[in-house]
Amino acid sequence: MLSAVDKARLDALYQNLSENSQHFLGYPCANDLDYENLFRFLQFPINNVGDPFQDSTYRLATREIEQEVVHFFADLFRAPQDDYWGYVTNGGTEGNLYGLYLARELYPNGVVYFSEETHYSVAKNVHFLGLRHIMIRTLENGEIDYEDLKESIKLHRDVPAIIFANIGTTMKEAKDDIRQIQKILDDLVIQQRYIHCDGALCGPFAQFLDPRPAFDFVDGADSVAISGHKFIGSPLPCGVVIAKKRYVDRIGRSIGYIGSMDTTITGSRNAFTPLLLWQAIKQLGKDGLKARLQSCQAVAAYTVDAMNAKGIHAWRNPGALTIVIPKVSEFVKNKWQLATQDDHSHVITMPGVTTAHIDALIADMTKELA
Amino acid sequence: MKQFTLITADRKGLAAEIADVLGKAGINILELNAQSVSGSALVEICVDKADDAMHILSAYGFQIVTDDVITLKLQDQPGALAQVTRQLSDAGLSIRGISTLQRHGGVCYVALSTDDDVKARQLMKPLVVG
Repeated sequence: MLSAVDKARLDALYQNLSENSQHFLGYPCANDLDYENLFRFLQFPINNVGDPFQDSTYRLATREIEQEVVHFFADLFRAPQDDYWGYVTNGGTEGNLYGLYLARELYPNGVVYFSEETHYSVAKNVHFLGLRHIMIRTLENGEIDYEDLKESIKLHRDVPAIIFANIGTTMKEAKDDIRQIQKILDDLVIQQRYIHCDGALCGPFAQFLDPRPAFDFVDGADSVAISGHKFIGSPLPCGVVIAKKRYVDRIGRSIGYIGSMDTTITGSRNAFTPLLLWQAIKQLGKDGLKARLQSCQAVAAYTVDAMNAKGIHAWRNPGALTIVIPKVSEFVKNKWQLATQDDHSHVITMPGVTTAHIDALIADMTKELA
Repeated sequence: MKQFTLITADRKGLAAEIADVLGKAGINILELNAQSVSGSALVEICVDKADDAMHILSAYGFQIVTDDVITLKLQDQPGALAQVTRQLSDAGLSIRGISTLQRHGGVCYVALSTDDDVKARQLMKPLVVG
């Protein structure tokens, strides 16, 4: 039983979160879905320990639900029917770690190439894995500089190339074109290659963008990772990683797995987040994801127009939900929780963000300009 | 790849046990060769669904290895492993990992992985199993 003091603390925290959620425009998290019917599952010590596709004596689990989530995204990413595997992760970072891990096991002496607009967790991941890496310049819009990539790979033609492609960079939602990247690898005759796509934000809706970015398994990806707590709207951090099964099976035969075939990164794994993702995909389906995207894009377009009309230079990449604006003041940044880097801040029109929110933000920004 | 090796303490009914576990999982055994060495059983198994079989047998408690690692048979005595690592190091090879698989009756089986397993396998030929 909690003391009165501790209960009061929880009440205050609840109040604080309720207020802050009304001014939450800078991070790519949707907050419009209702998961109350899943709360009853919190009474069980559920744990999807180990491989989601293998039986376990630990039966307080949601493995079948997790498998359906994996199948849904494998289908969305056009993974080869008889050669995919995946699991629900703790988030995009773990999914990216997994993709890079597979790459390392296939090509231990490979070099990882990723752009300077890549999420900070990737540098951490390559450090964890002891992988050699080269950071590549980006173009003005945040996309990888293909010329710089080509020149860098040219200097290392004797080693395998591991490409970490961004499908929606953190600050500008730029997308690296993996077909163009593969052309570079073909031109340089780099046969030993691995392409991992970080679709943390855009992965769940990239298929519905026009023009459609090249990012999935048919386009040449070897693994794709997404976040579940961004566009999809899980209230708990989670994600999904899909990879080619033959690579995963190879891991299971390597020295690190003597005594256990458990190929997921963590042993104990969250069994509640698969429920959240499952409910979301059941309620939305592909059509719902597409409609959700279109709704967010409408607010994004409104944001750019409304800001420009007030003399605030706002722009976005084609079809993006991330609007790049000049760096805002500390007051605006803190009130609206806007991510800021160098001379720019950004607003992200996630599900749940309305034109009323944008109008209120613009009002605060223009008050300072006056 | 359909073949792997199972290493465990030898016991009566082991082959039947393995066949039973795989049979219940709908996995077809194509070939099974077993040998008993100083109380340890080395069972080479060829099946129609190797990765599933490996998962199931591993979960059941067996040690499973494939040709992706090098399996060595050593004398189970202090210094035996050190000699191996010294030999590999002198040949310019880096060890990625060594795991003990089974120790019984004065014999120790280890799994080994290096940065050049082709060279390592050649170097360790007298000790390599399978």
